[in-house]
Amino acid sequence: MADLDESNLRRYLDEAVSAAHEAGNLMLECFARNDAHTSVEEKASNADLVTKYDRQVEELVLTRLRACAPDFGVVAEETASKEELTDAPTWVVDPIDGTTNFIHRQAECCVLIGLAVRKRAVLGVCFIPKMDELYTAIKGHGAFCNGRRIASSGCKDLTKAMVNLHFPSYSRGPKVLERILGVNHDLLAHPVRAIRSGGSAGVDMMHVARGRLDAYFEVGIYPWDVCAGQIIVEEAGGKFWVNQPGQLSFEIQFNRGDRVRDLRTVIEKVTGIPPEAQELRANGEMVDKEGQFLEAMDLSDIWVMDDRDDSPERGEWNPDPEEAGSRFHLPRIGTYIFSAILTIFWVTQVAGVNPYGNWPEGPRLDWSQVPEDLRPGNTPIQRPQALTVEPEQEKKMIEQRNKLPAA
Amino acid sequence: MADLDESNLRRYLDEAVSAAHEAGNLMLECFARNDAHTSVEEKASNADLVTKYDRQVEELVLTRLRACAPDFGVVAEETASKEELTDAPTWVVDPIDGTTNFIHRQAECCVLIGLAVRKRAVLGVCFIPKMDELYTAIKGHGAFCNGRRIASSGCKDLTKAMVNLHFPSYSRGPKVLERILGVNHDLLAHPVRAIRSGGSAGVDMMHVARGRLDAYFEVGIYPWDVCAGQIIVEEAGGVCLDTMGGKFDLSSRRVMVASSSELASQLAVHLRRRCYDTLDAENYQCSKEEADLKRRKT
Repeated sequence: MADLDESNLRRYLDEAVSAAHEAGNLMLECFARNDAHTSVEEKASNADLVTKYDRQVEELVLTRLRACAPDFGVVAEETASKEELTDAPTWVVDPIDGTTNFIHRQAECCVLIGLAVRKRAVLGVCFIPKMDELYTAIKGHGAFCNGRRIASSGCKDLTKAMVNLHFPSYSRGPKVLERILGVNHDLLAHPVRAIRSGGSAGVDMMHVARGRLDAYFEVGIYPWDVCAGQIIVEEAGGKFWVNQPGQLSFEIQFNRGDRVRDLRTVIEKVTGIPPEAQELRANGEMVDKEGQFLEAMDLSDIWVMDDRDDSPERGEWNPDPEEAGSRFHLPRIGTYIFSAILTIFWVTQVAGVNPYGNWPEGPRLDWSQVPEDLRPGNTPIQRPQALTVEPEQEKKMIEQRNKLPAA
Repeated sequence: MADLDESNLRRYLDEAVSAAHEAGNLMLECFARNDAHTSVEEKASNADLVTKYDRQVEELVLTRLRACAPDFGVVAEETASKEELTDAPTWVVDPIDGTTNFIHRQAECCVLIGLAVRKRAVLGVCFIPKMDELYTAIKGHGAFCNGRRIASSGCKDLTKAMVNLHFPSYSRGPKVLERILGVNHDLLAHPVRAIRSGGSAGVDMMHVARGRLDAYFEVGIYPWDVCAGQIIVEEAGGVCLDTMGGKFDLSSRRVMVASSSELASQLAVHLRRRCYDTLDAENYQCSKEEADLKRRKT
């Protein structure tokens, strides 16, 4: 069996791309002739259609693929749909994904060619002839559209997401409908930003990889509908903005599997700051784990500062101090109130107008009521000592007083 | 008031086409700059969005239209949405139809410019910049895409039809959802061939006119969403009706376009059954008889 190292995969990719282009040209010819609807046949139901073009395109693609890799297995929609997907390298081909759209002359139909090894996609090609968009991906080497790197939207909030769903054509029993419409209802009520329905698994997955859609799901698909899409979506990675104090921000695209140290090399290319002098902060926290995967991090607020720079602006990593301060933060507000009270207490104490200055004994002395010699700074004058009277003597004195004749 | 004979209409059409091209170029610039999502504002709900580009495009289009026909009224989405649609000739403009798609960089967004006289569209221009498709129509003179005559599919059978529906962004109360999902269910169970959801009234109507879709309906639309589309669909051989099957009214906030009247009547049966005529949750409990009465009135 042929080894599947990178150079081999590139060769297979080139073959698959030229097969996809040829297939796309055939589809465009058919669009121009406008006769797809004349050869429509119904497969499982009257919503599950196939045309003679599906078979023609499949034959064309499979001939090329078999010529370049004769020992690979083949699973394809029209002629080899019963083949079991094994661990061996297998071409997984959907000649025209979105046949119904194709019949109705909609742009959303494509050629899908995937290569699966051990039931995982390692290579994917998707060509959308009407939009002239060719998507390719090889495992570990990123996803491309017409030669340019692509990235998914990175949207993390379902209320801001555009979700694509699919109304089944294979089976439309009452329970199936209840379930898909239930999901539909829950999404609308969530609420998601928008629901779309495109009708081609391949094109919808390309939209997710490209960042035009945020999510897509479907039940009832076959391997050929998703094999190429899986690897392209997975390789599409993401993108985020890197901010610098006092300078323009720049956007960075990353792959799955890229780590912080890869990010530092890219930042060095853009800014010229050597990796060891980069102070990297994500949401205010210092990034120090060099081996951390970028896809596992929250990349919404990335700042980079030059450690060699000692100017006062350097510390201003926070993008918007007003926004940060406006957040309701109970402990911080408590601290503010407490220190305000302390300040007021101290100031009034110094000014001598603090009614609670002598707490807990009670209000401060009013010095005007105090005899002059007892006020601070004066020498107290000698006063007669108070007589101390024993209780028994006091009793005697009272008796003596009572014996005295009335005046 | 200017006479609206054919030569005049052709002149207005040329002006509208060049305004639409200019607007489309502005949209393409924005696609290239990739910053639409940075100026998003929420209108009625967090699914009803507007960007600064909507306003820029509208200003550009209206300046040109006002210069070529200063005495015409104007109804437009962003700056003149409160204007009453009168019998006088009125430009009806949606600068970016499908704003949510525009923000998400989808191809399905367009500039819509229509001219309405006595509340009926007589001229329509729709430009989809990402697909580079320009649709035009003048009443009685056919519909064109990039200069070529277009025709709707002529599909007469709902089971062979591809139907486009729209999930509302204006209002998503439980009763509204029950109604649209009810229609969705009935159509799937009918069964129609396929259900799609594109998200831009203008583009969906162009697809019907072009024959790529067979039917489209929506409740909650505004005159600027449908004015240009109405005349283009009608001139391409399709029909444009109320969702209840009655005569179309630009300001009724209901539209159903189909490639043939047979298909429209089959679709209307399903819509009437679910009383799909308003997004107003209060107005929901209308019985079948009431719906029929309403239909007869319109």
